[in-house]
Amino acid sequence: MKLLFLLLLVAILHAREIRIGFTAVITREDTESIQALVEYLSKKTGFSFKPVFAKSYDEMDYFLAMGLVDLGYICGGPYVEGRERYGYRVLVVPLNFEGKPYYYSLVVARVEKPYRRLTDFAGKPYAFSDPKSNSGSLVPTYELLKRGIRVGDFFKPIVYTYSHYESLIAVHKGFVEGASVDSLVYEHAIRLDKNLQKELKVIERYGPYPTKPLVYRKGLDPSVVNRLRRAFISMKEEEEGKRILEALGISGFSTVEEDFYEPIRSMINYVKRNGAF
Amino acid sequence: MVPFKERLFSLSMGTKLSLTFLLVILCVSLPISYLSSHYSEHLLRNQINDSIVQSVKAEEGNIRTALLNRDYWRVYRHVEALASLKGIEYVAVLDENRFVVAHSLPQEYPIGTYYPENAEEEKVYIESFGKKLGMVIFRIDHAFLESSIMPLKFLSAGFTFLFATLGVSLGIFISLRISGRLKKILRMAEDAKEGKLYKVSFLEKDELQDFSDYLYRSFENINKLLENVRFEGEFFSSLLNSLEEMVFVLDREGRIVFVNRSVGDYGYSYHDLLGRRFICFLCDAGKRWEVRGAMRKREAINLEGQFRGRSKKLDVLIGLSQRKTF
Repeated sequence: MKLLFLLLLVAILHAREIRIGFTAVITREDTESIQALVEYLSKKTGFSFKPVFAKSYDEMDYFLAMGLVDLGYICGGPYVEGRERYGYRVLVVPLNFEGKPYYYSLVVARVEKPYRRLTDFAGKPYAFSDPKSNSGSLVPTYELLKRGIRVGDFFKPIVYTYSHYESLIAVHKGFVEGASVDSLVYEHAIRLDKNLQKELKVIERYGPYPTKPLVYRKGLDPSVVNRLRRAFISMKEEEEGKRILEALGISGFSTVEEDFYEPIRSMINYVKRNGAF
Repeated sequence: MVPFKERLFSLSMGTKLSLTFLLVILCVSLPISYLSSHYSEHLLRNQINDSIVQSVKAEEGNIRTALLNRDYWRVYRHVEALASLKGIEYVAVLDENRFVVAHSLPQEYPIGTYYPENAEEEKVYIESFGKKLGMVIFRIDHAFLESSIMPLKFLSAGFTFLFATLGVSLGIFISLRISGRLKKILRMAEDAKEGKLYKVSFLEKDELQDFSDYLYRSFENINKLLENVRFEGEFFSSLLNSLEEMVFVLDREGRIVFVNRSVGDYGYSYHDLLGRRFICFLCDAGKRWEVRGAMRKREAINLEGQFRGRSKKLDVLIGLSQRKTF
């Protein structure tokens, strides 16, 4: 009996580790904000958190499928495609500064460049973030396809950076003429980097689209899921939580219905039907 | 127009010495400066070359994969990292057909631009099992090389200038010293003429000291000779003055250069007769003719004649003796 009690005590004291995966949807270079988030969550849930950075959405899908991460901050596009295949579910979604779970796909160029719209980049090097990204790949592909243009022939070439932030850097350095990026990442990036703010401009905005979800892997203990969800949702109600949210470029977390990502699903289907390359 | 060679030879000793120093320093220092700066530049260029080749080799696998996948952004990141190495002006990764995959100057060379050969660029091939997939080309920043070598050049120039200045100063110093010593020797000679003979000694025991000593000894000998001559002169003039007969010493032209005191007995003083022609004092023209002929022939003769005294003519016996050599 004493031994059983001792084992129970050790199990309670030994905090569970939650591995939280980050992808291109967040400015991964902002490690300070990410560290503040995991420390806050650790304090609120009692779990210890370990951030894991994936190079692409495919890699994150693999991590989620194999249980190498428990949570993954991914994009609407990969979520729509991976939900059935890998069995992950939405834990929470971030809210923009209007308190809504939407974001935009922005077309960005350098301020001195003459571009006015997405179609001006014909024959130019153009940055997509991840091939599976909604704002950084699917939206421009879909928008051009609606005009009868296939991106594979249109841009010369498409440069995949696998990060919205790096797409901004690629534009800033002049390696590409333009890029399609996530509006939340853009706003976060220009707040952190004043050079980007001065030297980049948004020339077109598509959306709003359902925002990128924080998903949990199949098989994660429901009590852990609930505890985590509560911690995320209650962040906006506390001063410390608000500060971290602001640093991350969002105003809070919320839950959404299952059909929330239907607009993205229909775009994917449209592109699949018509072919982008 | 004085020829250059003549002008050069007629320069002062100090100027020649300074020019020689300057020439020697420039002949030695300039080639050494030139060689050392070129050698350093060569070393630096090789070092930069090696560093980028090693960096490319270290990242070859990643570059190869990115190149094969046409992952332009990853390639650009490599290019950017290589371009940030010191001494590199730009770096580019080209595919096997020399089309730009990524260039560190992307606005000038966008993706897909054909990149012509440039002899000033270095290249490292990216290969897969011997097949060339592409290449990393780069150019060494000459401005960086220049600025890196500049301190060395300044140092060389500074030392050359310093040595040249020291050389010229040394030349001037030595020339001033030599001319000062020569002036001392000259003063010694001038004083010796006035009978003040003294020895000149210098700190340097060299040829000038030898010359000065030689000159001193020569003056000393001349003084001794002069003393002897003076003694002889005094002796002979005393001897001649002790005679009651008039004694005339003539030069080759027959001018009187010495007379003894006896001429005073005939109304003449020493200074009255000095420089005058002896034959003018002979009254008879025939006797004058005879004496002139004997003088021309350098013969000794004895004859009787009349000598023109100041107040009266005197019958005298004239003896003319000739000294053969002086």
